Formats: sequence, structure tokens, C-alpha cells
Amino acid sequence: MAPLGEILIALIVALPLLAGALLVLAPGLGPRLLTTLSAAVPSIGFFALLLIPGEHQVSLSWVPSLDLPLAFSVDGLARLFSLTVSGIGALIFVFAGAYMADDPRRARFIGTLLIFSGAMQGLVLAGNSLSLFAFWELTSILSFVLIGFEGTAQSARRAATQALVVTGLGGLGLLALAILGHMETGSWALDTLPAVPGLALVALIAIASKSAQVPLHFWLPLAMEAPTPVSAYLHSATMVQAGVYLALRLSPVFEGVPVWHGALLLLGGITLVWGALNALRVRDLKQLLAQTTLAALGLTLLLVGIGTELALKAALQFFLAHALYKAALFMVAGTIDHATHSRDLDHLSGLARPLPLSFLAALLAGASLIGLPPLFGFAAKETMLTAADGLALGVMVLGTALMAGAGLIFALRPFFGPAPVGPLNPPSPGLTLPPLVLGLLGLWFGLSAPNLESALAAVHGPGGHAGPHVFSLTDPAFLISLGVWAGAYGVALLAPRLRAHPARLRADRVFDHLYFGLLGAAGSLTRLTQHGRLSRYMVGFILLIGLAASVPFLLGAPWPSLEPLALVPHELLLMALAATGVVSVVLARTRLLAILALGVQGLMVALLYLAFGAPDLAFTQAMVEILSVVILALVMTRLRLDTRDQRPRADVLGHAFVALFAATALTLLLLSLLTHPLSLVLPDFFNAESVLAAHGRNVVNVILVDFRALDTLGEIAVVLTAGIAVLTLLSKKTAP
Amino acid sequence: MNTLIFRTVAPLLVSIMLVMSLFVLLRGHNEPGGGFIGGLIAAAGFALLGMAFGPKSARAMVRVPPIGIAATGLLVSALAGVAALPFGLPFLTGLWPKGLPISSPMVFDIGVYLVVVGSISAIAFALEEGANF
Repeated sequence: MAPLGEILIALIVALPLLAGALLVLAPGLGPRLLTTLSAAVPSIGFFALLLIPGEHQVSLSWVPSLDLPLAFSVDGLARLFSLTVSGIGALIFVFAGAYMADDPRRARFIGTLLIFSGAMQGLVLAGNSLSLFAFWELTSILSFVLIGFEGTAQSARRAATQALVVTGLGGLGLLALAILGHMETGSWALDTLPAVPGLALVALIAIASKSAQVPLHFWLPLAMEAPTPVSAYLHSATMVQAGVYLALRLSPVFEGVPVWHGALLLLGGITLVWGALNALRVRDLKQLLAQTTLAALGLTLLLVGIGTELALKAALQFFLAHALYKAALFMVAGTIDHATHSRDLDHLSGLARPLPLSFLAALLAGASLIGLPPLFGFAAKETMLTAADGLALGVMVLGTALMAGAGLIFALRPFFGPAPVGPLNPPSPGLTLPPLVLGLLGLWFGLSAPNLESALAAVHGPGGHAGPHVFSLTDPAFLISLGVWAGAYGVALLAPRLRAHPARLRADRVFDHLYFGLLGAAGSLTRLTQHGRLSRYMVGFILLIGLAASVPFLLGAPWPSLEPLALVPHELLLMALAATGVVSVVLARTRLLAILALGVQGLMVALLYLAFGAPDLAFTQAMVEILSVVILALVMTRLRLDTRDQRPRADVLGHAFVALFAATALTLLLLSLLTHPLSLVLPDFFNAESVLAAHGRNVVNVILVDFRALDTLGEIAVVLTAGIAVLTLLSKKTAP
Repeated sequence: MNTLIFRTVAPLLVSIMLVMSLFVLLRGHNEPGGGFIGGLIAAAGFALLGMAFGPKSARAMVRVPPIGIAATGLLVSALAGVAALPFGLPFLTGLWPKGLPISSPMVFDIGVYLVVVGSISAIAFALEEGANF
């Protein structure tokens, strides 16, 4: 089975990634062929998964040194999500092919969307936390590309950036979960994570950002900047559902951890009501759907937060029902947009006659959203109303009533009323049929009640009853449903008034303030520190050295005691000459004299090194001093500096203070270092090994070219880079 | 500075410095010296050449662009490190072929020499181009 399983998994995950990349590279493909190819890929994935019986694991070698395989695992939950991703995906690609038929960028668009579907498959089939993280990040990056597809529009770039930053934050949470889990258990497995509140919190960050929970919700409505097929896919089966998937996947792990349940209930409840309320306040069809997506995500997480078997079953049912109706509704919105070039609720009317198939799809999908029998949404709603009680039930009734109101508006408002003015762009079957298929599927699932038992077993353990819903008129849940429908009707009547008062507090604007504030602060800091004045850089640099050198004394290190050195006359003479050099630098009238005096001081130091028995150092020091004098003199003439120092007196005094401070601190530091006994471990090692291991008697050189050759390689790379930098600076013709 | 005496003596001085720099480079493994100090001596020689004849003539005498010498040097040093890889040894492991008077640390040191002489003389020539003596 192993090789066959690997082939099937490759068909599901790798085929979309590869095929998508190929499509992006083949921009000349005709629309019909493009549609066929792109819809075939998820269809193959769909049937490939059906061929994998039961639970199945595949593990490929990835990073053996980290004990990290690229693992895939098929269980009930993964199966439900994967089939939804590929099944809805196939219809999305039919729709996308028709939607983008006249767009010359269609191959790039559909190819990217296909890669995205592969990443999503990898995410839901991932068998360990780091595989999950890798695909999770891949979906974030691809959604950035897709949302920013109209990259020439500033609003699209803003939406894409916000989506990337927010979901990237969630990716960090997931990475933290993976690493902390590995530190705790020594394994990358997801199901053996320890049930501790800290891990639950980092998981919640990932879930809340990807599934757009308040206050990280704002990127999702903005993502409506993407072309409609993207919205339809991202909001139904993929992307935002990744958070739901993670919540369900971790539900058995964190079951019973109070912060897990509490946070999911709180976030889910707030997002449900906030999204549903805002869905009634917008005029744009896609915005309305985006806000109901927020509400639906909140509702699903609320159910996961309740965490009972019945609630989890409701979450699974609702995920499937929502995926079907939301994809259909987005496609209808796209068709209306395509036909009328408008998505404004207050302008659209009378579309039932010109767009009969879209109207039918909107009715079926809308009825599922509202939860009318016999559609699948009804079954999901009955289960969730039975599963909840107390405050959670109250929030749920309020939220679903508001959401149903928005659904009612969407399904009816554009289609009735006076006939539209002006000619319509007639939709092709590729636009109208996919949403209708999804709507009919919602009807079929409502009648046949799909078996979600294996998915429920994966999130709550075996032995569940996910069988068909037994309908009864005296069911308390049904009585509540009647209330929800009545509320939805009332809300729909009130909605035109709500639309006149758009939301004032906008979290996306807060994000903008934070984002551009951060950029502005970074810019100010850069302008403050990188002022371009060489003398100030030098002052800052030397001051910092002085401060760093005085840290030990500020922390209470004893002052060094100066022991009298046993110096012989010629050493004293050299020191006196070096001191004379330094004093001459300070007193010199012209710059050239100062440079030469500095060279004298350096050469005396080189001779001192020689006197103390370091010929290599002395040799190098002498050469460096000679070249320094030459180059400093050249710099002076090249930059046409004044031959005399023209600094104001205050500057001279300030610089003198900084120089004396740094020199004193550095001297004290060096003296106290000398009072410590010198460790002979390294000198002994190098002296012993130099000839034996490296065949050289000059220990200094052997260290440079053999023992620590990597350091030297880095250093000569720096020398070369500095040379290139100097050439670049000088090639700018500043002087005439 | 382009006096007759200086221009007459300079070629002699520079050739001695270049020979000296090679000598210092090659003896470095056992006696004071090495690629870095050898490179500095040669760079000083090139700078001297530039002062005596002007950077344009000096460049013509050196024939290849100095920064190219430096880049070649970095490549030579890196290759001296890569040479250990085919033998299954870590990067930069010293190789001492039996019976031959060369080794990979020596090649590495030659690379250091080239980087230093190339970079410093490139800077010196560039500075001399804008300077008027």
C-alpha cells in the first residue's frame, strides 16, 4: 500500500503545485483548455483521496538531521476538508475560467490559484506540526499574491499587505506551537501535544489570525479586493477555514483546558455578532458576504469552544454547509458583477428575469444560509441549537438571526423590483452552472445527510452519532429556529436603515496607523542616527568605545593598580618618541604635519612591539602605518580639505573631552586586564600543534591560514567589500 | 612629487618591494611574514608607482584592474578551502600532498596576499586620480 498511498497523496498535493507552476509559465493557453486543465487537477485529487481507504500515513524524508519527515496523514477530519477543498475547487476553476476568459492574465491567475489549492491540500493533510506550518505559510504567501492580483491598485496592495501581516502573525503562533510542542514531547506530532494553557494560547493566535476573529478580523473584508473566484475559494473551503481546521484538529488535545474553551467562546461569539451586524450595514454584495463569512467563522469556533460531541458535530456540519452555500453565493455575486458591472445593493434590482439560473442558485444557497428545511444548512442549525445552552445559545440565536437576515437580503433584493436599465453582459454557462451545482448539493446533503462519523471520530473520539437528523415539530431547537427566521425577516426589513450608518470604528485603519507609524518611526530613527556628518559619526563611535570600556568600572570592578614596569633605556626612548608623536598631532598647525606625526607615533609603537618580541605584529604595524600615512595624505588632497583645522573652539573642546574620556577608559580597561593571570590554554595548544598538525613554525601565520582560516576568509571578504565600497564612493564625481 | 630623482628611483624601489613582498609571503609559514603583510608591502609599492608616474601610467604598468586582483584572491582562497571537500574533509581543512613543497594553506595565503594588494592599491589609485601633486 505504501507506494500507492504515496502516489495518491502526490496526486492530491503535489499535482496542483506543479500544474499551477506550469500554467503560470504558459501564458498563451486558450481559455477553454485552461479551464479544462485547471478543473481536472482538483477532480483528480478528489478521486485520488476516495481511493485511499480508512486512515493512512505517508512519511517522506525531509530534514533527517532534525528528525523531521514531511508527513501526510489521512483521517476523517483531513478527508472531509480535503474533499471539500478539491470538490469545491473543481467548480471554482470552472467558474474562474469563465470569469477570467477575456483577461490576458488568466493563466497566471488560475495557475496561482491552483498552487494555492495544492498548498491548502498540504495543510489539511499534513501529518506533523512543521509540515502543517510550512503549508500554512505557503497559503498565507499565495493569498498575498492572489489578494494583490490587481497590484497596480493601491487598495489591493493595502489589502494584500494587511492579510499577509495578520496571517503571518498567526504563522508565528503556529511555529511557536510546533517548537514548544517539540521541546515538551520530543516529537513533531500534533496529537501528542501536552494540554497546557500556554500551548493553547499560541494555537489560538494562529487560529484567530487565519480565521479572522475580532480583533484580527479586518484583513478579511479588505481581501474582497481579490477577483471574485479568489474570494469564493478563500472564504468557503480554504484559507479562513485553515483556522477552523486547526481548531478542530487540536480540539481533542486541548479539551478541558479552560483558556481554550473560554477564548474560543469569547472570540467566536464576538466575531459572530460583529460580522453579522456589519453584514447588514454594507451595500456591496461581496462585502456583505465577507461579513457573513466572519460571522460564520465565529459561529464555527464558538461551537468548537463549546466542545461537546454534539457541538463538534454541528461544527463539522456547519463547515460543510457553509462551504457549499458561501462558494455559491460568491459566484452569484461575481456573475451579477460580470453582468451589470455593479455590486451595489441599492442599485441592483430585477435580475431574476435576465439571470434565472443565478437566481435559482442564490435561492438554494441563501435558503441553506438561513437554515430552511430541507437544505443542509437546516440540519447544521438544528444540531448547533441543540448543542448550545445559556449565554452561548443566546449569542448564537442573535448571530444566526442577523446572518440569516443578511442572507435573505442577498438572495432576494437584487432579483426583484424594477427591471434593470441598460444592456446586460450575458453570463456564460461557466458562470451560472457551478453555483447552481453547489446549491443543489446543499439540497442533496440536506435530504441524504452525509455521514460525518469518521470526521467526528477524529475530533472527539469514536462512538459518536453523526447519523441523520430526526426532524420533529416539537423539538425545542425547531421552535428556536422559528424565532430565528422571524428575527431574520425583521432584520432584513430594518437593513436599509442600518446601511445608512456605516461602521465608524475601523480596525483596518488602526492597522494602517500602526503600520505606517512604525515605518515613520523607523525613518525618523534612521534620519537621527544616519545624519551623514563624518565628524559626528566619529564622535559617536569613539564615545561608544569609551562607554563600553568603562562598563566594568561602573559595575564595581576595582581600579587597576599600576605596578612599576621594568623598562630598559631604549624602550623608554621609544615610548618618549611615540608620546612626542601624539603631542605633535594635537599641536600641529597643518593637517599634513598631523598625519606625519601620527605616522611617527605608529612607527614607534611598531618598534616597541619588536622590542617586546612580537616581530609579526611589528612588521604588520609598520606597514599599516606607512600605508595609513600615504592614504590619509591622498584622502586629504583628493577631498580638497583645508590644510588647516577650521573647527570652532567649542567643537575642539568637545572632541578633546570625548577623546580623553575614551582613551582613559580604554587604558584603565587594558591595565586591569593585565592584572588578571593570562590563561595559557590556547597559546599552549597552538604552540604544541602548530608544527605537528599544520607543519608551520610561525604560529601567528598558522593560526591565520589554517586553524582559523574561516575567520580569515571572512576578513578578506570584508577587505574586498571595503575596497569596492571606497571605489564606489570615489567614483561619484563630487569634486569638479 | 614627480621629480626626476623620484621618477628614476621609483621603478628600482618598487621592483625591490615587489620581490620583497613575495619573499615575505612565501616565508610566512615558518618565519615572520605571510600573505597579509606581503600584500601590504606590494600595495605600498603600487601606491609609490602611482605617485611617481601618475595613476594612469601606473594602471597601465599593473596591466589588470587592481580590484580584479582582489576578487581573484578571494576566489583563490575560497577554492583552497573547497579543495578539501572531494576528500570528504571539512571546508578549509589543510591539505599537504606528500613529496610536494606546496599545500592548501599556502594557496590560501596567496589568496589573502592578492586580496590585500588588490584592494589597497585600488583605493590608492582611485585616490591618486583626484589628487594633484
